[in-house]
Amino acid sequence: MAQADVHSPRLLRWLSVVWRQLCSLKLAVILLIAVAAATALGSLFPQMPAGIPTDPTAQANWLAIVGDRYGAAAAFLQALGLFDLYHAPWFIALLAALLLNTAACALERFARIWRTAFAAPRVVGPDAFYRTGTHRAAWTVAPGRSPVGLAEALKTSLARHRCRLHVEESAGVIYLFAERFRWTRLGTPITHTGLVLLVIGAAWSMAAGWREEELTFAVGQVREVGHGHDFALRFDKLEIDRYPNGLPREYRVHLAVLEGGREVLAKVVRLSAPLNYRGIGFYLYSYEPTDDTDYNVTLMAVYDPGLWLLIAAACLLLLGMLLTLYFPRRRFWARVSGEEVLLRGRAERGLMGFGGAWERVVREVEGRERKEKRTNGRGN
Amino acid sequence: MAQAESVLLGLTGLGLLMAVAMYALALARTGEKQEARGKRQETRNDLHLAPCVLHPPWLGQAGTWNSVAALMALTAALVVRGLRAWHWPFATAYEFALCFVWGTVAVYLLLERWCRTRAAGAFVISMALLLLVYACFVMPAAERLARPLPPSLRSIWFQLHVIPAAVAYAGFAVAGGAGATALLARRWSLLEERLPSREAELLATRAVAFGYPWMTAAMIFGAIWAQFAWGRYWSWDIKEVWALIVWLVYTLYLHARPLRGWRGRPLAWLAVVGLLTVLFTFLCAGWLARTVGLESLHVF
Repeated sequence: MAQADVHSPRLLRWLSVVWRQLCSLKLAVILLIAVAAATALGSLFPQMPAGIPTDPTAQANWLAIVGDRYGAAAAFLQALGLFDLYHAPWFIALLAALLLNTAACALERFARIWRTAFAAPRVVGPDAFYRTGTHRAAWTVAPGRSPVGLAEALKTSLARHRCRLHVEESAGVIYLFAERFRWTRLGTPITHTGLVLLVIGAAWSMAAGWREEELTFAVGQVREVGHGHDFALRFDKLEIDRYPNGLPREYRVHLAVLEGGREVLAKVVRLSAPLNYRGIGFYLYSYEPTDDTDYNVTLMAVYDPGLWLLIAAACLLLLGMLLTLYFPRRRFWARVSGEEVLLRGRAERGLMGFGGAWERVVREVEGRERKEKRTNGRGN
Repeated sequence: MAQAESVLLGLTGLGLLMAVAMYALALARTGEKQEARGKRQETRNDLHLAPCVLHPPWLGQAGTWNSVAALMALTAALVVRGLRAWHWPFATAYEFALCFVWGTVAVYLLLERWCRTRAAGAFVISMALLLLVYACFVMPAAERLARPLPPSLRSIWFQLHVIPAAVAYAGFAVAGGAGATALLARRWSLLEERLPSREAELLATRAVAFGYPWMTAAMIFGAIWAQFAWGRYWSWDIKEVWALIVWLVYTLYLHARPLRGWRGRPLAWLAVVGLLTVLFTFLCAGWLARTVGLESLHVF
């Protein structure tokens, strides 16, 4: 017990250091450079086609062909995994590190946003706050005149830009706070979550899925699908539409699904429109003419249970980055006293920034001020 | 029809050339003026209402109008091309290059309005012009023939894949041109606040942020298409690999931006490097595949 008391603060401190490093942007930048460089490296060497790395004889044959070109270096390059770089342990480790970093950032950021999401906004700031920052404007109020008109103009203008307004008054000074797109800060953790799920989905579909690429059919042939399924596939015919110049325009593969010898489904498969039955996709892989009108076809059967997760993850990824980059949070603070009106704005760094809203607000307030001065001048 | 297309492309080239000349002249004169003026503190509170205007202003505006005219001519050329080939005009490398030019000019004009600066015009539009020259004169003539669509491209996903790719490439081209402008402008920076370099950097950042979701969408739709057509959403095809590298470079750009050490010059360089990876992906990935002996399903 006593021992644990001595050790746990140190352990906690150590853990918190690791956690902070893991969520750091610097680590993300370093890992991104490393992954990009490694990915580029892979495109400089021939990569083993799918299936070869798991088959020792095929691998030896493939290496013998490639080895010709690289001479003595071939064995060395093979040992570094450069001929199957995208599945090499060190590349996977690099990706895993980037993924861990992404997940940690998402978690940390989400916690931070969640903590502040329900907090009341700070409407009143110290004086100096209104005189710093990149987006600020100031209008002096003529002696003997009320700033209320200016404050109202500001409120109208901000409301017109769909900002949520908060007003507080203290010691004769009116404070304004206006905010738009408050929730889009969640965009970053949404993007990161999408990315993590994308990689998990890809790993899942690699681990749990299967594919068979050599399902060759002659016309009328029936083949069992296997893999624990009790249905069979019958190939009826392949039709090829052609352009006037003889180039193929469309392939139509007529298929039937048989269960217990009985036809349960007939379907015409096109490129980009495969047959889907009980979660298994059947794709046209290649074809071979046997005589003038008949063809043998090779189909590919793919079972991929991670697909729906991948699509959901991709949607999250896209949604998150759209929120972050196209709709960044915008905030305005104003301090209206007897002598002057100070306005300060801040937009979360994104594509749009204020999207012109800052300029329009300032121009609208200035226009109103000018108009007021003109009418007053006439009255006097 | 083929003749109309050539004439329209010629007009596009002429418009772009004139735009480049005007933007470049205005930028150079602004640089001189800034240098002569030296450090003069501006005290207006609306720093953001008065961005750096190229001098003389009419020269910059004329550059913009020339770009608009060139864009219209190119639009007409693409319509003619589409009618001739009887499919959307982005099915071959040549057609995609024309779309790339179209997107670069269009996205540039859009961002010129948003960021209210013409500083990057000279570099961005000359990029577009070079691409146009490449498409019309350097590409093999066989590439320029209008061809019917092969079965694999007759899918809605093909369009959903290629259009975002063109928009993303265009955004990145604008970012690269703006990055180059920022690097140049920093050389004559005396008064950082008011010089084109800061505005060119802002333009570069916005262009990257604009293009990035489109790049992501292009990759996602490409993966969905590949899943439908070939039953494999990702196959480490050389184009996929280089598209991933492009995506990683711009992910890096967006993540490095808040870091102090990356601000200014390094980030501008990164925008230029990003554009080089985009151009490599578009122009050289096929060549690399043939040289190294890789296989690729991509036509362009």
